[in-house]
Formats: sequence, structure tokens, C-alpha cells
Amino acid sequence: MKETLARPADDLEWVMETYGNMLFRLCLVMLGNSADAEDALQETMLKYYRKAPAFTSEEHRKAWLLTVAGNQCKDLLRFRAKHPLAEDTDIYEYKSSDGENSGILEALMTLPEKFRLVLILHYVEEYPVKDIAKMVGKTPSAVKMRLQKGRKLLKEVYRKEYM
Amino acid sequence: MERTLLKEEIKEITMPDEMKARIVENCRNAGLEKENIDMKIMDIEGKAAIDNSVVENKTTERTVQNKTHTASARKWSRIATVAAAVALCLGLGGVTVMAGSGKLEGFFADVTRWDGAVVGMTYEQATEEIEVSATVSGDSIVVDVVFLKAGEAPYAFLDSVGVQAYSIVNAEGKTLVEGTSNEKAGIADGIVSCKLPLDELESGNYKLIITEFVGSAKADQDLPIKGYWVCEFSL
Repeated sequence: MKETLARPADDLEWVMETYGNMLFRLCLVMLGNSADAEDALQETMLKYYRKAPAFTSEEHRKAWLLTVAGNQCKDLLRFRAKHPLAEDTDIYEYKSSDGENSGILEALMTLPEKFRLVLILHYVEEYPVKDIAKMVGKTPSAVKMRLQKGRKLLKEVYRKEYM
Repeated sequence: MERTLLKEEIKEITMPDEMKARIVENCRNAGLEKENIDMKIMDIEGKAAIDNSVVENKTTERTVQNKTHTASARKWSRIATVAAAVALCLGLGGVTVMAGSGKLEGFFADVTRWDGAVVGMTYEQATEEIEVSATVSGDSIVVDVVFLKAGEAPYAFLDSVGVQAYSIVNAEGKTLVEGTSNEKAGIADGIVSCKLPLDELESGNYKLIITEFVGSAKADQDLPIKGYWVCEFSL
């Protein structure tokens, strides 16, 4: 029989400590402002609290959280398309160091969300293409294409605007 | 180069501790709120005629459980099923009779967001559970509110109540004032007196129409109580 991990009700704080930063980064980069990121993250945690499945491993839990957070961000982006906010991005306020901004995050924020999501999952969270494909509900070749186009766009915007 | 830079800069993003704590707290509260709503709904339903059927059902179930170790458990199980069905029919019959008599009872309803997430709760159809009268005192209207079911949910849980949405109509039926009030007053023995500002109105007879009250309880979200109440006053 498969051993299952602790149930959500018991470990909310632990999950927030362990995966909070990772999920916040994803939501912030996807949504561009901390208020929406917090909303998406809260919805993710609520889903985790209420209906998370029995996880078979820590990787399973992490992937589940990333998938749900990504979907929440997409939902919120759809909503924001109809109800736009006049808020500027405040992504730099949440950097832990006060070093000079290279502009790479600003360049990333100009990309469409479908590229941002796969770029973060692949280059920041270091997920292989086949796992990302499962998370975003696309084929591995579609994910590869998105990565390729995303890289190209990021490079173009960054070198043109910020170098 | 971009990839390394991207990774480095994104990894530097951290979530503030207070945000983490806020999210955990909100999740716990939302969980507790859901349990409370379930309990309150059960409480209200428990007061209805169905109550009898549930009690009978449980008694029958207990009887069946005591006998499960005997060989006649199956037989009792069948009897229990029949008894439960009969009790349920009687209970539903009672509810139908109540509905037929024109007695409307309030109920809790979820407030849902665009994506279907529950973000709050209202109490609907409370018209027959609250009595309202209005008198004029100086430059304000005093609205006396009597909760006819003061000992039951949601009224038993409320600390204070205010008039959330109201309108004033003149003798010709023309709406002169449509307003909301943020002022709330404490409940004492199921009675509360709220004050509404009285704008410059000529002498005459008027109707005060209230469509929504708002109830507050300590450490709880405000509960809109909806219905339709009309009372007359003269100037």
C-alpha cells in the first residue's frame, strides 16, 4: 500500500514555509502585482486545505501546488482582462537583496503569460519538459516550442530595452 | 546569460512573513466558517418538521446497530429502511404543509465570486421573521426592529444590527430617498432600535421600505439579512 503524507489541515504552516516563496514567485511573475499574487496564492492554499488529494511523495505535493497556483493565475488573468487595474508592477519590492536591477524581470513581465509560466517552471524551478507538459496540460513538444519562443522573446526584449 | 540572470533574480523574490501568516490564518478561518455555516444550517433545519424524521431515523439506526451481531440483523435492517422511508415521507409532508400555509422561513445563501469561490454569506427571505415599525423623533426616523426568532440562528448569534438598504416613498408612491446606513445598534432581548437620518421632507404620510439589514457578530463577517419590510410614518 502506498504511504500518504500528512493531511492539509495539519500542515498549512509547514507548506507555507516550504513552498510559500516558490508559489509567491510564480504568482507574482504571472500576475505582476503582489495583491493579485496574494489572492491567487490564498485560493491555492484554500484548495489545498479543502480538497488536496493524498500525496504519494513530496514531489507530488510540490507539483500539485504549482499546477493549482498556475491555474489560479490564469483564471485571475482572464478576470483582469475584463476588469483591468491601473496598478504598476511591484515585483522589485519583494527582492531580498538591494542589488541593482538588471531589468531581466521587467523584460520577463512584457512576455505573454504562457511563456512566463514555462520559463519559470523550467529555468527557475528546474522542471523537465515532460513534467511541465503535465502541469500545464500541453504536449511536451508544445512546451518545447513555448520555451524556445519564450527564450527568444526574452532575449530580444532584454537586449533591446535593458542592455 | 538571460537564463542565469533570470534564475538569480527570481530566486531573490521572497514572500513577507506577515503575508504568509495572513494566508494561513485566512485559510483556517475559511475552514472554520464553512463548518459554522454547516452547523447553523443544520441548526435551522433541525427546528423544522424534518427534525422528527431524523430523530426517528437515528433511533431506528441505533436499534439496528445494537442488533447487528445477531442473526436477525438483516431483517432489522430492512425494517429500519422501511421505517426511515416512512419517517422521511412524514417529514417531507410536514414541510409541504408548512409551505402550503404560506409561512416562509429564511435561509442562508452563499455569496460566490466570479470563479465560483464562496466569499461570504447572506440570510435571505427573512421578511416574516422580523417585525419593523417606524416613528419620527426629532431629525431622525427611529426604526424598532423585533426579531421574532431571537433565540435561533442567525439572530441568536448577532451582537448588533443596522439598516443596510432602505427607501422612503410618499403618498403618491414616488421614491424620495434611497439610502444606506452604516450605523448599527446593539440587540437587547431580540429588539433593536436603529436611527435613520430624516432628510428635509414636507408634512405628510410616508412609507419606509427596508430591503436589507446587516447584522454583526464579534470576530465574524457582517451578515446581510434580506427581506421586504414596509412601515408607515407621518410628519
